[in-house]
Amino acid sequence: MKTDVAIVGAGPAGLSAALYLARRGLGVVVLDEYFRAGGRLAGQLYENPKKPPGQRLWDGKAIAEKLSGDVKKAGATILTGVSVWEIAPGSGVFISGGPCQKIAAKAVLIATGAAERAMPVEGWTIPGVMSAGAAQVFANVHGVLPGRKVVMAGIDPLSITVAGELKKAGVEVVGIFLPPPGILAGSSGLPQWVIGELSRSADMAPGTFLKMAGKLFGGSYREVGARLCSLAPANIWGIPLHLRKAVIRVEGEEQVDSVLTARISHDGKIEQEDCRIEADAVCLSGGLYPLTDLIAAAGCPLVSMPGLGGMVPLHGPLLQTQSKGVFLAGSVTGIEGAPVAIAQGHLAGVSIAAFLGRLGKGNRHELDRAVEMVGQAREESPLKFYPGADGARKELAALWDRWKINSAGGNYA
Amino acid sequence: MPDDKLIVCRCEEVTLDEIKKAVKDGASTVSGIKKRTRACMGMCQGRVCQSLVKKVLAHESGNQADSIETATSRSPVRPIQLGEII
Repeated sequence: MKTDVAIVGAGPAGLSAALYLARRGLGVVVLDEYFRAGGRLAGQLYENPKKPPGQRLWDGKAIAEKLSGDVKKAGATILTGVSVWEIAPGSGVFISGGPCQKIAAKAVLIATGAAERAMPVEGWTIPGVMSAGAAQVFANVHGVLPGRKVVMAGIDPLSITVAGELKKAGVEVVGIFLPPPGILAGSSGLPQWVIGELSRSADMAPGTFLKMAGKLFGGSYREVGARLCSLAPANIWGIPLHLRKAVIRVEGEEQVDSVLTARISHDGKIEQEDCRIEADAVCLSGGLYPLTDLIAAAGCPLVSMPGLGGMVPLHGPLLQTQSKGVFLAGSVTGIEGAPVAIAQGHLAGVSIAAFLGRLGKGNRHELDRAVEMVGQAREESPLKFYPGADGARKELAALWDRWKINSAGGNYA
Repeated sequence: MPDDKLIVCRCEEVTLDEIKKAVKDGASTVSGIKKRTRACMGMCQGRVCQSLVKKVLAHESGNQADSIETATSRSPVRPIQLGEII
């Protein structure tokens, strides 16, 4: 199969880029492993208080359906159930499970999104234990409850959001707990660190739960200290949030039947075993990280940016990479929400059109406008997954400039 | 928590204890852990456990986890059938 642009990932970033490029008259093939386009948009439903009244509802499923419908109408091809296993810079991508083995393309957009970080607990291989994201897909996408009585381990914006959604779906969420302290949980097992992260997210993100978390933790250090001293759980949407208790073991033979919790000291040590809680499902949350294996295998260097969720591919302000003709958009560039991914997808689309000489004279302003729109989407973002994102983006831009100067490369724009 | 019971790499069923032993045996990179234990070498190719392996390496050597280099990604990055590449 031959086309102008191959796009890996039919989530918000990939679809948004496809829409722009197809409307510009370029040949576009979008590839996704899942059986349906839309990526993680499908599971999202929330109100954004930073938007004007009347525009606040974010119905991810409806947005995904509209976007993929528009992409097809604009003339792009979407292939689902297809895995991309290699990028051949300058000549396209190799695929598995599709109608052919290679999509020959002049440019490639990597919009592979994010994956969940594992958060191991003793007994986490017992059936009934799953990641927070898996539980979200069960409940919001497939309409299947992951369990009747669920325990959440790991305290972060994602786990609290999912706990709230599960409760709305009719699940009894017994509580949200710290992960077991130790090397693998690291700082996410420390009560003080968790509170710091939550309150920093709350400052930037007045979503419903975060507003409540902000009221609880966002105040003075004294309040935070008082909250830390208390063994009583905080309360979010009627769900107990335990900042001083951890899940230390999941138990069950054929499937989960209970979890063992322990009291945790201020500095994250087990004080004493607390109690055994009956549950038929356990969700584990360790946050999200950019899914970079495809772009890394193409030879793009990765840089460590904890504020963006981990290792991210080095890229420029127009979402170009060191591999000529290979571009990025969405959470693969750093963990952010779907509205930012949509704006980045559009920017990548304009950037690719410019790279292929198809932007047209007098349309350079579209690039500047697209960059501005990404900034605006960030400002309006209701949720910060990692509080240090802005600083990390600046650092990344500086690294890109240094590479450009040193290599005299990057002659794209 | 007993380290010999906690599975870190689910695909290859490698425990925390085995990874710590590999570090004591001289492994200082993700690659060194892979060669000694097969952690990160199963179906998911480390998508689940690589960040955990890095944390163990960092802890045992007294460094930050993000100072440990990510293992080199190689094609094919997804499981495919032999017939698709030959």
